[in-house]
Amino acid sequence: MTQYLLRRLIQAVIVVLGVTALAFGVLFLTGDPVYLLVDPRGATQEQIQQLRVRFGFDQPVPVQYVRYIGNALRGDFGLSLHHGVPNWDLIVQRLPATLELAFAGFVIALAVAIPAGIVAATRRNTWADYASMNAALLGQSMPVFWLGILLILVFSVSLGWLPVSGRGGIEHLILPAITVGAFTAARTARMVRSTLLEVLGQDYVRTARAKGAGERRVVLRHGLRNALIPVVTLLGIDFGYLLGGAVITETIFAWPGAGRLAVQAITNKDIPLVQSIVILMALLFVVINLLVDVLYTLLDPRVRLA
Amino acid sequence: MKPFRLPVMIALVSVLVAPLIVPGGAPAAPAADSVVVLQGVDAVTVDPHMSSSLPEANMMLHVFEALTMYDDNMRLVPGNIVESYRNLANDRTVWEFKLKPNIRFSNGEALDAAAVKAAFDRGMNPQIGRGNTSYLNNNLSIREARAVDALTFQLITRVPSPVVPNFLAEYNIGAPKYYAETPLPQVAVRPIGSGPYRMTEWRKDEQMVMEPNPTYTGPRPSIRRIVWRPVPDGFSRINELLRGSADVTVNVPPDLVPTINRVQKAFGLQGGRRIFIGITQYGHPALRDRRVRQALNHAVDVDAIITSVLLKNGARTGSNVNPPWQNPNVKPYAFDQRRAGQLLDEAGWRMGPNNIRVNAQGQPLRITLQGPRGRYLKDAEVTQAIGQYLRQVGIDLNLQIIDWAQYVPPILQKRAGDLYLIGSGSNFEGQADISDLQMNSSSNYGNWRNDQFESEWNRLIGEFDAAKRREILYRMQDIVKEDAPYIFLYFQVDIYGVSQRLNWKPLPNERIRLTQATLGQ
Repeated sequence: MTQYLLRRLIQAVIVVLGVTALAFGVLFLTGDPVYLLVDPRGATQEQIQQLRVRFGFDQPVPVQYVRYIGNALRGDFGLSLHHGVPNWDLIVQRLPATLELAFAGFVIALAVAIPAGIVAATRRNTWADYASMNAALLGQSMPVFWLGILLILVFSVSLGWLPVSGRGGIEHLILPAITVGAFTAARTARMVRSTLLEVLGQDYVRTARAKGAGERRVVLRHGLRNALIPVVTLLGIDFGYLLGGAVITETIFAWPGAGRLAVQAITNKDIPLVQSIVILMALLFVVINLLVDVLYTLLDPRVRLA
Repeated sequence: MKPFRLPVMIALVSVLVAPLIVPGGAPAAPAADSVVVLQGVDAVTVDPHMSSSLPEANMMLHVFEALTMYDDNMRLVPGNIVESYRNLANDRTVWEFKLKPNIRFSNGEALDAAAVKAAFDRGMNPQIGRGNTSYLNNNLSIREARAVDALTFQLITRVPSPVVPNFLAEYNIGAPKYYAETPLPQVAVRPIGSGPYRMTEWRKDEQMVMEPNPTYTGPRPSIRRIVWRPVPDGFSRINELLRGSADVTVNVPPDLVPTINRVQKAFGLQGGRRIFIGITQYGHPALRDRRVRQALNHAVDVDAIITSVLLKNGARTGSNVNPPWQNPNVKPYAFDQRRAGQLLDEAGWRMGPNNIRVNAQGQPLRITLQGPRGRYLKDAEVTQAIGQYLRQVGIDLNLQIIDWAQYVPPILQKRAGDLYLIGSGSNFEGQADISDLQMNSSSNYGNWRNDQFESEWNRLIGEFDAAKRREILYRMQDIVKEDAPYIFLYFQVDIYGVSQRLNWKPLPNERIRLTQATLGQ
C-alpha cells in the first residue's frame, strides 16, 4: 500500500514539474518577454534593458526556470502584469467561486448520472434505457456555450425564473451548475450503464441471486459497488475538468471564478498570471487524481496488492 | 428482475425538475432607484492616476472631477470645480484656473489649489502616473503645477500648446491627504474624489456600487444607486437587458437592434472613433507609391460595406478628423475600380495571368491584409469584405483575421502586415485627431511621413487663434486625403441597449455618464 502510494506520489511530482516547465516555456513563445511589461510606443531601449535586468530576463533560461520553481515552492508566483498584485492573491480570491461551481456541477452530474445509469442497465432495451441514453448522448455532444445560452433563453429570458448571470444566492448557481455538469452527467451515465451491465453478468451476481438476495440488494450492494470502480477514475478526471474547464461557463454566466480570470489574463497577455493559473489547476488535478488512487485502494483491495 | 422503479425514478425526476421549481429567483428588475450598467470587463484599479481602460474611465467619471470637461455636445467647458480659466497672454505656457470656493472631497478634505497641485504632482510621479495618466503627461508636457493662492492654480507647460485644456478633461483630482498617506493597494480599490457619486462597495468581477456623494455641491444626481457589473459575454449582456435586470449595455451588434427594440430601446450614436485600413510604409514596397495607395481607396466600395455589413451603422468619411474640425470639402474617394486599375497600371503593376497584377519583373502584387475579431463593430466581416474588393482589382491578397490580444502588439511595434484594420478614438479636438499621422507620434503605426504635413503640423501646435487653427487643419486634411496613408472607411456608430425606464443619452466619446439621467416607470 505504502509503496503503491509512494509510486503515485513520485509520478505526481514528475507531472507537476512537466507542467511547470511547459507553462514557463509559454512565456518565451511570445517573443522577448520584456515586451509584455512595456508599451513599446513609450519606452526607450534603455528602459527596456533596465526592465530586462530587473526581472531577470537577461539570465539564461534554465537559470530563470530554477529560480521560478524556487519562488513557486515558497508560494511566490510573481506579480500580475495587468493587475499589479501577486498572482497567487488573484487566484485565491476567485478560487471559492470556481470550487462552488465545480462542486455544484459535480453534485448535479452524480445525482443525474448514477440513477440514470442504473435505470438504463436494469431496464435494458426498454423506453427508459433508450430515453436516458439518448439524453446522455445529447448531453455529451452539446457544446457548453450552446447549452448555457439555451438555458438562459428558456429559464431567464422567457420564463424569468432565474437570473441571467452573476454570483449571488442559490438561484444564481443553478444554470451554470447544470451547464458545467451536463457533460460529466452524460458521460458518467453511459459509463455506469455499461459497467453495471458487465458486472450484473458475472458469476458472483448469479450466486447472490441464487442465494435469494433481493434485486435491490443485488444491484446496489453486489453490482453497483463493483461497477463504480472504473467510474471513480472517470469522475476524478471529470472533477479536474470541472475545475479547469469551467472557462466558457464562467464567461457566459459572468461567474467570477478562476476560469474567467484565465480568459482575462489571456486577453490581456498577462502571461505570468496564465502560467500561475495553469500550474495551480494542474496541481489541483494531480491532487484529485492522487485522492482517486487512494479511493481506488479502498474500493478494490486488489489494487493494493498490484 | 424486480424493477426498483419508484425510488430511482423519483430521484431522477426530482433532480431534473429542481431548477424549475425554485421560487422567484433573482428579482427581474433592479430596485426602483437603482441603475445597473453592464460592461464587458471590470475595473482593474480605480486609482485616479493608474487606470487605462474605458470601463474604468466610465466609473471614475462619476467619482472624480477635473479642471475641464466635455458637455453632452462635446464642447469643452470648465469643470464643475472651476470658476474660469485662461491662458496667460504674456507667457503662453501658463494656464491659470480660478477654483470655486467651498468644494470638498467625499471624505471631507478641502478641494483647493493645493489639492489640485497635489493631484498633478502625484500624476507626474513616474512611480504612480500610468495608463491614461502617462498618455496625458506625454501630451501635456507639464513643467510645473503651482498653487498661487487658495483658489488660484497654475499649470505651466514646457511648450505653448493650445490643446492643454482638452487633455485636462481626463486628469482626475483626488483627495490630497488620503492619496498621500494611504498605501497604493488600498487606494486602488477605494477612490476618494469630489464628483457626484462615491463608491460604496466593490466586489471584483461581480459588481461596483456607487451612491450620491453627500459633499457634492453641484446639481444633485437623480439616480440614487449605480451598479456597475462586468458581464464578458455580449449575448448574456443583451439577455440581461431583455429580461429587465439591467438598464444600460454596450456594444450591441446591429442585427440584434430589432430584438432589443421590441422590449427595450437600442440607441445608435455616431461616435468619434475612426475606423480605417492603415497602409504601412515599412511593408510591401509598392505601398510607398502614392498611386497604389490611392488605387486601394478607389477599389473598395465603403458605402456598400456600411449598408450591407454594418446595417448602416457607420458614417463614411474621407478624413481622419472628427467634426467640428473636419474639412467639409474633403470628400471620400469614389468607388471606381476602373480608376483603381489605371492607377495601378501607372504605378507599374499590370494585370497578369490569373487576374493577378505583376510588375515588370513578373513578381505578383502580393499584399497581406490583417483584421481583428471582436474589437470593433463587425471588424472581421468588414476586413473580409475589403479583402474581396482588393482581389477584384488584381491584388493577390493574403487575408488574416487575428484575435485582438495577438493582433495589436505587432501594430504597436510597427511590424504588422502590409494593411491592417484599426480604430482610433477621439476627444473631438482636431489636433489630437490628426496627430495620429505626425511622424513622431506613437500612434503613427504605418510610419507614414509627408514633409508638407510636418511643416503644417509645426504651425498648428503653436497657433492659439481658433480660425487660423481651422485653416491649418483643413489644409492638413487635404494633404492626408491626397497622399492616402489610409484606406479611409467610416466613423463607428456605437450601439447601446437601454431599458425603457431609463431616460439617458449616450455621449459620442463612448463614455457612459449617468449624472443627468433619470428613471421613469
